[in-house]
Amino acid sequence: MGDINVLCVDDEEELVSAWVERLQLRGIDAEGVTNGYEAIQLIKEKRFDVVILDIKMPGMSGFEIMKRIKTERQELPVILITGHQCQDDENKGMLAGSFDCLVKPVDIEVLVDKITKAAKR
Amino acid sequence: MGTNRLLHEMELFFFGTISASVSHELNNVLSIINEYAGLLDDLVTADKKGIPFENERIKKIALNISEQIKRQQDIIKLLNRFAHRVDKPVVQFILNDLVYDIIRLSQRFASLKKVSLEFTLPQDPLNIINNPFAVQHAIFSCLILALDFSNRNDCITTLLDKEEEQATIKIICRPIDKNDETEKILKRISYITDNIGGRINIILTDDDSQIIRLFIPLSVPDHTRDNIRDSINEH
Repeated sequence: MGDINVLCVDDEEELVSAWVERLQLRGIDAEGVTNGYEAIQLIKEKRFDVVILDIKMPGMSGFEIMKRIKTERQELPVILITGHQCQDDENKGMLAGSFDCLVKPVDIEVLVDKITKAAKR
Repeated sequence: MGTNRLLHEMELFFFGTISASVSHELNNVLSIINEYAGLLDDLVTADKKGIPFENERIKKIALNISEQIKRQQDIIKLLNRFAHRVDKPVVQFILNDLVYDIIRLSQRFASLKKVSLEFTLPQDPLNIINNPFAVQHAIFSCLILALDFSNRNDCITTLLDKEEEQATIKIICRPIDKNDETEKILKRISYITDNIGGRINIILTDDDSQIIRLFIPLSVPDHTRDNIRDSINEH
């Protein structure tokens, strides 16, 4: 379908499926999973250009998942999604490894713009 | 720092912790509704461009939105009941309802650790006269302590019962390491329970689980009522 392959990771299943459908309607190939274990497994199996990743998730946090993703594919850009502000002291260090950080609710056009820029990097 | 001052700070921290957690969950619900609204708009735009949508798809999205609104209403009702428990220092209330609410409010903390929270409540309502805010504070503090020592896929079980003139809340969990930090936490929980005429203790079971036991009087003694009022008036 599109030139860009995106993996969306958030524990809210309905949010993930809506993101996937909306990205697909914009010509972006997207897949979604609801936990870090599935995300890491998929990244090992398939080629993705960008990962959209929620920070607060059950079991394995977004930061932990990003760390593991970077072990598998260091160059893979990760766009973090948070319910709170991106730039708090707690997150500062970890945000350094991400391409960008967006606050929920996310504007789909902003997300598409970030994905496009991340994929071109 | 005086005990009343410390209690007040702990209560503020507890109130803030629950508020932050609930706001996070409400934000998730709003985000889902936001995406569904956007998706409906996307489907209409696509239809105008000659890609027709299916009515069933629209009906499904509408149903999903109404389910999220129901979820949001439930969260708001829960938050509302939680917040109103500060209204009166001593009041008669059904402990079953309070235990149920505080376990639900703790669910997000448990989910983040992939731990499940189970509970068994008596069929008959257990009416008590006490400080409802302090009681939920004590239960939450015990659940968080139990969670700190839980592993992925563990289950923490809460049992509510009545023994003579007191209510007992038993939290069955993995054993808690005895160290300076946990001793400090247990001492702080004791401050909460002492202030409402209750107490806390921990026992080990034969199967290597641990039971955190909270004892809450069915009716708070008069001198304790005065203490509760005094500690509130000080603030």
